[in-house]
Amino acid sequence: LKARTDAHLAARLVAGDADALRDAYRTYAPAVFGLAVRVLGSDVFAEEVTQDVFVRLWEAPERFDHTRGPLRAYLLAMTHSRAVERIRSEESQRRRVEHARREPLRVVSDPAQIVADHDEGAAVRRALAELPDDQRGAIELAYYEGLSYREVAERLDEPEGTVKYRIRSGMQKMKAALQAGEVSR
Amino acid sequence: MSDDMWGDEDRAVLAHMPFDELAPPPDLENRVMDAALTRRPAARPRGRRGPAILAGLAIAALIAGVVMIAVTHHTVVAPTRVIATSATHADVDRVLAERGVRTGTFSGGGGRVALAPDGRGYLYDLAATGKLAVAIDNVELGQTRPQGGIIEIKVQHPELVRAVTVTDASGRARRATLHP
Repeated sequence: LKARTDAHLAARLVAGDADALRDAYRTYAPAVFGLAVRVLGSDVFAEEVTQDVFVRLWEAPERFDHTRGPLRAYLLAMTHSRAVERIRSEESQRRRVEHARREPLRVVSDPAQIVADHDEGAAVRRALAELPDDQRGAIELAYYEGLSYREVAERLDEPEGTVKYRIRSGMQKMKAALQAGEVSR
Repeated sequence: MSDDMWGDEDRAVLAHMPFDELAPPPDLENRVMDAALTRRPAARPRGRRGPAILAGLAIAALIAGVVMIAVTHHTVVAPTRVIATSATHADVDRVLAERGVRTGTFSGGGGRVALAPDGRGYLYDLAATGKLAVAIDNVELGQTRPQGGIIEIKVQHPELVRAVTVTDASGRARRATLHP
């Protein structure tokens, strides 16, 4: 049903239906904005990224292929990509360091709450929560803060190869959880 | 490079990473819509769907009729919208410096208008601070409040626009005919 809804929304976007963009915004903007704030640590920059994401969706809606995944995932991937580009700028880098000082790295510490989440990503979040701390921490640093393997290694004071192995191992477990969740639906 | 280290399969997984969804600022929706529609105009009029469609079609037909009367050309002027923005006098100056810009002064004073060949335009030096209804020829674009004495507009087929009219809350209308 969701795929059909996404496909219909995408078709309306391709047709130039401005109401479709408004619908997409109202449905997904909280997720896009929330992820952007999480990565950037700045409401102002997050607004810019959110606007950029939806403008790009409107400009080139044909780039979204509903057979490859839901629209939410597509938008969040774009959000993450744009946010990481943003934090690569010198100014954002400075703000990010300040933000990291203010707020310690978020660790998912309540698996029970995650297990209670019945949406399609619950299996992934459950898998994340169940990862060993070193794998989960490395993935969160790489994803939420946009760090490279090398930068994660420097942050954790670990060899780059070790960090890469931890991230790939953790990702494999999460992929398996996602696939299992899809099969069971 | 961190973003390059994720493949398509990774992204499908990472879309489910936990984070808090947050309500964006209320005005962001309109900013997004304005920015998007500036880059790619909508293919059909904006508005609510459902029962309003028939009414919308009727209104569109009426507007089209008014435009056909107001414009001597055979092509219909297609105004898109009026935008209240944080446009500055520097933005206005840039448009005024553009080749082919057309300008006008509102009757009775109280403001000017500049319309660039690409359809960007500014109503500026507006004396009114309250909400104004803006119309291109006889077709209303919308109502908004000037910011810093400026209202930004965007129209299609700007070459067909002959005049811009602003009407204040009391019903007083001022018209600026564009030259050349």
